[in-house]
Amino acid sequence: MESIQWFVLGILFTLCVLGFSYASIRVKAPWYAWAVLIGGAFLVMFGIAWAGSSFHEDIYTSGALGLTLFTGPGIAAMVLAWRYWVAPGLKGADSGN
Amino acid sequence: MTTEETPDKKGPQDQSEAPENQASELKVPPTGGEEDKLRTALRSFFKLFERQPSSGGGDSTGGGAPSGGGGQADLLDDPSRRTFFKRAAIGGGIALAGGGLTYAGAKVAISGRSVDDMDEAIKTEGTIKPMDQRNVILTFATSKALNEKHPERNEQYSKLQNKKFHFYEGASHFEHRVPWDNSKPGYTQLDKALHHAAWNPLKSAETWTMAHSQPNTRVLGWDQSDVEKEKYEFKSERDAAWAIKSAARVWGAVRCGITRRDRRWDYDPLYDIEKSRTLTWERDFPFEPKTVIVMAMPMDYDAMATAPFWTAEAAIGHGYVVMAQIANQMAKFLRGLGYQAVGAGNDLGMSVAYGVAAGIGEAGRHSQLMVPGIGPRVRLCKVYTDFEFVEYDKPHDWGMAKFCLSCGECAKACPSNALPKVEDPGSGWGYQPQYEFSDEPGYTWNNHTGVLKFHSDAKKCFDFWLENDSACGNCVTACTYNEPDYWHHWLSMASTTVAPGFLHTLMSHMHPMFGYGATGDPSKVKKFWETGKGMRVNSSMKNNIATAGRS
Repeated sequence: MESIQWFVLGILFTLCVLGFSYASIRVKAPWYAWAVLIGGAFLVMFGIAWAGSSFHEDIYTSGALGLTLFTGPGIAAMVLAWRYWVAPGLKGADSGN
Repeated sequence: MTTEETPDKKGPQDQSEAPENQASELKVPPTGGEEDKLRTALRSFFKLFERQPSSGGGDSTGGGAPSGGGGQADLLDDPSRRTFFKRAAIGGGIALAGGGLTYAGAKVAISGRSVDDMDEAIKTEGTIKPMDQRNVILTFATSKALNEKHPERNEQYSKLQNKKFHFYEGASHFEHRVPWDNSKPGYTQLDKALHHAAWNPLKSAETWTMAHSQPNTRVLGWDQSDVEKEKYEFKSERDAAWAIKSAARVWGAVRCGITRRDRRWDYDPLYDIEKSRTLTWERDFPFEPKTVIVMAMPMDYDAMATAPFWTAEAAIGHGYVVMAQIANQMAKFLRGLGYQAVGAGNDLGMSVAYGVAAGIGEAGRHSQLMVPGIGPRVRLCKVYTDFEFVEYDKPHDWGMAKFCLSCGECAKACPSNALPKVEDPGSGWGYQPQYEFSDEPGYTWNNHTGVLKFHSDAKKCFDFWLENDSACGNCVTACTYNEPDYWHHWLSMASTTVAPGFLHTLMSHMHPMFGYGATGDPSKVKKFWETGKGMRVNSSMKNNIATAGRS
């Protein structure tokens, strides 16, 4: 089962790399926005891996906390970076600015 | 911040168009048919990785990305597959390299630091005399003769603890005193039966007293009459070490270390509890040992998680059975190679000190050997042999004892206050015991003093065993290093070696917060009795090697 977890994470990792590569040629954002987005993605995947193993070993508290402490902040970081650093640029572009 | 505008603002779709545009610019001849289109697209894709002259006829600097005449400067403004794949390759490569470096760093950290000097690994003060086995708590408690010889020990303990207490009388009814109560989880007939069944092979083999350090038992006997006359010659010391460790592994040991015999860690004199007589190494032991092989075998995580309930004793008793089995097999293996060998459980010498010397772990606050990846949830056995053409292991430092200085979860979980606390002077770390009553004359009779370590009061520990009518195991269960065999625990283990002290405190608090190390929790008993669920179609080997529960 652990091997399946790593396989799924490998797919997620690949999708993340492709997603960020694609975004990097579609979106211009300051370096710190990329740093937060990539860091957020790392936290999301780390939390999934942590939770997967914790649920697998039957320690559900650890799994839940892994999602709360790692994946949660990761998602929050990505959403905030998008909201404050990336989205304004997109709107500006759409409106011709 | 702006999106990269393409003339028709198609967004992501224009990615798919890029190869065709580029293909035409790269002069890939278009052909008809679906198959040809695919071939053309692929050829275009691979063409993107080649240096090509720009459409303007000049050199395409910086990789030659055709960009509709814009050149390298316009690369970002003209998204192309080449940029996409280039960044994917570079980004993925960097991420993979980072992961690889983290893995390598963690692996090095988990390997520990080799300590060349034995005196650095086990620091001592003054001349260390071997421990008299008659002062080992379980030897004393199970010997009527020793109790009669030292009535003052019972009197002093009773007086200081303000209770009626007698080591031998308590020990003689141990594990049969308290009747089960089927309304109390962990103390039911089911748990008691499991407990007794776990020990039964050793009782049947008349060897269970090796847990009290009784030497020369039936399974771990001293008889050397079956030593082969022809001595097997190994090609090298390393080959010999690998052969011994391979044998240990196949019988169920998860760690095996080889060290020179050190008289300081042997019991001397030895004591035959059953015959009430002292034994000497020179007169009674069949040969002069040169080497001690130390082996560790894990105890079941979910059973130990039920401590201090009787259920946990299933793991402890089974651990002792495996100790006797492996020590017996290793001794027989060496005798089969023509060398003298005697297997030992708790008898003959101090397993923790030998475990440290053999490089398989470090001594913790709970006075037990902590093995990386398993923590103190191991049982140890030893084999004394005269074989010495072998590569000896060196002690290792994983920073675990240092972690203990600021952790103290075991001491918090100890129901009898037998373990030194973080708040104690020097955090309880010293050459002499610092626990309650340790300054009373004659109170520390059971301690091996003069060794720098955490000194525990085994008398108090044993007192709770009698009250509980079973061994306890709370310190093992609560230990921050007692974790199932999963990657995130190894990563935490690796990070403790580099993390500063204040983070150790934080990590030790996080451990119970994340749901690990709880003791006295009836839900763990319920969980244990469900660990057999799904065994027929188990998706993991983890509960087959007794390192984690149902998976």
